[in-house]
Amino acid sequence: MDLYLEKDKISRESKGFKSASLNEIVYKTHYRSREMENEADEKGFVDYFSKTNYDLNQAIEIYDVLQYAYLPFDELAFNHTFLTDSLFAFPSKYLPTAINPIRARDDYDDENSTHPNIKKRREQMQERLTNIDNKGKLINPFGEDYFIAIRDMARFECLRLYVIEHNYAMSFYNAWLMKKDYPNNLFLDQVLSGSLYGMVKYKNRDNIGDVIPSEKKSEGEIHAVVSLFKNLKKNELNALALRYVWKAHQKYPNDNYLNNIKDDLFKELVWRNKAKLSMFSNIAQIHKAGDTLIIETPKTDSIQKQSSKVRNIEKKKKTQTVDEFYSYIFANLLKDKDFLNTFKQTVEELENSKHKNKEELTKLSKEEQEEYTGEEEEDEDLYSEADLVYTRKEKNWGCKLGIDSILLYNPFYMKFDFRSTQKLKFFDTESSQLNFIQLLKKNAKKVGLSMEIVVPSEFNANGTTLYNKHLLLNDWTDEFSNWDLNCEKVLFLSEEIKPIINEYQTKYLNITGVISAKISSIDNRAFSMLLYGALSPVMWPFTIQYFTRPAFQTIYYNKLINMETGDTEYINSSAIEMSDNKAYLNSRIYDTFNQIKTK
Amino acid sequence: MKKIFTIIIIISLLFLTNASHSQVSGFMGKKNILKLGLFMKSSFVMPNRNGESGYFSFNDKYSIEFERVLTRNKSIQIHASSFETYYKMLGYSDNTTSPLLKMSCKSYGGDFVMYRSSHIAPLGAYTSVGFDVIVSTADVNIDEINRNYSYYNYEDQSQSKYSYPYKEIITTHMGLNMKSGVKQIFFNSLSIDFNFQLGVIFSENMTGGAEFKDNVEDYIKGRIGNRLWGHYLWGVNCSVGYLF
Repeated sequence: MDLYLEKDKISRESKGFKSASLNEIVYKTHYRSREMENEADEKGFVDYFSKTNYDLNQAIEIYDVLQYAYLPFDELAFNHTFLTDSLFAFPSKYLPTAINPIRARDDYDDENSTHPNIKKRREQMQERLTNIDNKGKLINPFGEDYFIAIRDMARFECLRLYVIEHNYAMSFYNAWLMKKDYPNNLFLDQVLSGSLYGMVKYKNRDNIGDVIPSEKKSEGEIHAVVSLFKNLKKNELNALALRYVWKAHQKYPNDNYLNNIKDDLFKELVWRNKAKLSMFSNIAQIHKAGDTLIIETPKTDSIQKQSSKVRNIEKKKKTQTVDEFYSYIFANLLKDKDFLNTFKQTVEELENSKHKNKEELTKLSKEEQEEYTGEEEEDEDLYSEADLVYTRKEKNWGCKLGIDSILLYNPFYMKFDFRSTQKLKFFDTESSQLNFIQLLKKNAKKVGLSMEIVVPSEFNANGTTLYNKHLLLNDWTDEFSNWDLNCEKVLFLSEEIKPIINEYQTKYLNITGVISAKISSIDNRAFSMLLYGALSPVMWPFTIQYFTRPAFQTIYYNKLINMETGDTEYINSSAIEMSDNKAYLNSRIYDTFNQIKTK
Repeated sequence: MKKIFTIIIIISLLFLTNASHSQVSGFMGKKNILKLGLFMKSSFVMPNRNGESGYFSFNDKYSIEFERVLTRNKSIQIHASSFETYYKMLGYSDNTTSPLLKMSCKSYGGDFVMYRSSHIAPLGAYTSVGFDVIVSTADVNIDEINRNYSYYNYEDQSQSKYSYPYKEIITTHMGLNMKSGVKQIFFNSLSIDFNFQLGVIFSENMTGGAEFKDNVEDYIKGRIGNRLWGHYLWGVNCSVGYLF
């Protein structure tokens, strides 16, 4: 649902889906959920928790955990030297003068919430605890070590989810907190690097607000992290991220994820931020003097010269503010030959790509060239060869991908009737989904496309392997759909998904679904339909149909994603004013598979 | 005829440019439809084959059509159809007594069908533009011509009595039409198609039919053109087809 309602923004017609927002649908569907949640609290306590050896009074503590769940794991002042070293420092204006206070409330208005507010739940639990026998119960019956192990396991999982959800401020700050206990943990370095990488990608495209909350909304110590990443300029954040990821890569040279994001960060720095080696200094002496640093720096192009004598001669002293710390971010790394070579190689790639793109442009028609060059001014990303190919693919109606096998993951189906109070039709949805899967299988066979399907409905009691695959695919598609950027990217789960690629012998993941809705047919065309009917009996069948049958709207969606690269290979979507009849679905599915399969 | 060829060439070029960029799926791989069509039009403008007029009597037209899907959402259609109607030779004062004369027409034509971009040919809503060449064979009432010719030339009694040589007259008209309709498919091979048509007939003799003049042939052709114009103006077409 999120994938196309939020991310791909299929244009919908004037009525139907537009008349009811997603929130309205959710509220309608869950209109008794607060009562159900109270019942769940009751049952959970009486039937399960009260029968364990845990101190029953701890049930109250649960609501404290819930109340502050939106905050990080702990409240420690962020030490920004974590990202710097002795050669450069952040300007103080990048950091907040005062940290925002924590404003968590437990008595908020829960009228539109699926759960009752914390205060009510806490009070109800307090009532349950009166006159209860708590003898022999322990706060930690399995020992503290066991508790910490489980807690940290949950925290690691939280970090993974934060990165998948692109909640980068939380993932970064929490990973930084956990690094104190686990200084040599690869996963924490992946999370920190992945968070920095994600922020760079969004910042470079002026969308940082999508992945970091506003400073106003940040509460507690995480405010410092939010403020820093908001205030850093594009090139500064890019260089800082590259510096951190390069170091992590040196520490774990065999880790593919770190290696891939390191390469992409180089590309971002050189291609988008137009960085050149000559912009960075490999020598810097910093004498702190308030917010002004006295920096002894070589001439900008001196790093290319080998002779220390020449270099030293060219040195000149100048005073500059810490705003210019950008030049010194790589002060240590520029002595690293690998770093220097990779930097130079990326610059060369950019030049080659520009040349290649010019050749590609000459192949396009005049109109396409004009359109393309017009876009180039707005979107610098078109330096990327991949983007150019993508644009061309999208332009043509239909394509020939020549793919022999795909993995279809959990085709979804939703049926609504906007004329009734219960808008979502659960039973129709379920039966239609099963029919839809059959149509998908039939059409794949007809086209000659080899297709494997992973659907939750096929789970059974012993199907943990299938369940785990489902979870991984679910997380991967979640992360993929959260990437709201039309550019090359390295997904955090790009390595985790590899066993699935190997098992199914295909790197292509197909996500497809249908949303169908019945809506009232009476709209602004009613008068004209009446007029047609009055003018000619020939139009009577149309007029009668218009006033007696409901109108339909159907959205079909199909997306083919390359799990190796995280690129969208193909999108086939349509929104029509017709019912989701078999002929329409067959037509769409066959067309999609035909384009995927045909060479 | 030159006009027809120009139109055909333009349409063909359109197909070629589209086909070169598109992946053609048809309906589950089926790209051809053979259709039998029925065109109905209320006869309040013109009498039907039984000479009846009014809202609830219809002119009918039967046709055989062949549609071939060319691109993702475009197709071409050729058709041949046949219909009969009646016309009155006189269009002015004496028309109440003027007898109805039979007119048999054969129509041959083609359509360029454009399905909505969200639909895949040959399923769903479409708009088409097309042309028809209509060959009409109309009965001629010689006595009426002679009588009216005399009436027209009553001042000049010196002329001998006019005698029109033919019992029927054959005319050719070209029409351009636009259709808007929807096609649904059942059992993966049966298509049902409804469309609403608007059209115009091109006739050089159109104005000639308004007034009886000395060129009798032009006058009759004009009358036939007028009748076809009314017939072709609008209507509803229904067809059933087989996909293969």
